[in-house]
Amino acid sequence: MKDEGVEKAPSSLRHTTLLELLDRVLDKGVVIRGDITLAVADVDLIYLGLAVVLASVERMKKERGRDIELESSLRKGIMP
Amino acid sequence: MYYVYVYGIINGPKRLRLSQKGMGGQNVFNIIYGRISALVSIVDKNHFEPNEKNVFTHEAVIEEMMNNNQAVLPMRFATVLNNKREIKEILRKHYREFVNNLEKVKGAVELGVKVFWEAERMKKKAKIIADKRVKKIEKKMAGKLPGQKYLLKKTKNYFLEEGLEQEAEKLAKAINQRLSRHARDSRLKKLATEGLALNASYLVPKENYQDFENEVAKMQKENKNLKFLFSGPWPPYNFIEVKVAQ
Repeated sequence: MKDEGVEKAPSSLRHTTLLELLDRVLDKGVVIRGDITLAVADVDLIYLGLAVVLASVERMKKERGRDIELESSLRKGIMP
Repeated sequence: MYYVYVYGIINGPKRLRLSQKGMGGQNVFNIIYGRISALVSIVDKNHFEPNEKNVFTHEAVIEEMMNNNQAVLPMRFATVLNNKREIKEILRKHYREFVNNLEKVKGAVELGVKVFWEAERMKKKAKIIADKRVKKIEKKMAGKLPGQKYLLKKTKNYFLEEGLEQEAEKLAKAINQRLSRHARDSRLKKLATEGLALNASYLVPKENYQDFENEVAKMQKENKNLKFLFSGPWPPYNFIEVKVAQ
């Protein structure tokens, strides 16, 4: 059936890499900003934090210096 | 303290409970406002740390809805509100936008196409052209101006960059012409890095999915010098046009 490929789950595992997922989940989608939100840390911080955890983003290599900073801020927890 | 983690916005006033567990293993349910609802679960602040498992959980919840043939507007990871009232308030305030966006992505999935080229070869090619252009200018500059060498070097770099951009533009246009036929909408980014000539996302009706994928495979066969990276189907992350600011 033509549609079969679309219906199978989980699709993200079939074709792609975690990086593709990160590019979307962390950078796109509906964004809610403002006082009403429990402002969850800056997206960049989450992005870089994930990169630390996963060691999968090339740009982290260039930002070795920031790693330590981020790791410690992550350990402290990103929540206010 | 407990919070409400939001995964996405969907059509439908019906009560749901998903089989996919949410952050921290909590049940995912929906909070209804009018004819739309938000997919949520209750979290405490340790439940949504940015790690691989949580990112996959976020995606898996949204994909369960997608696979049930539901249009979903995916939220960005770690969208957390203080309570249910707040999410209802957002649904109320942006009701029209959510409904319109849901309509737009209905029956479609997002597909990703990354196109890599041989950066070194393309740079060499661009350099030959840039060299020629600079030579011409050099000839015209009869006298030796102070700083001429520096200026020419700057100009050459500019020509080089311009040359690469034009090549990427040409490539993107050719590829987009063939893919956009199967798609409802597209987002294109050229030369995000010097090797990534094109990073594109397409909103593709499910019935065109196979044709789209075949077209990508065909282009890969025709262009041995390029590397096509196909991904998806994704929730329509790149096709959200809602600005939620309080």
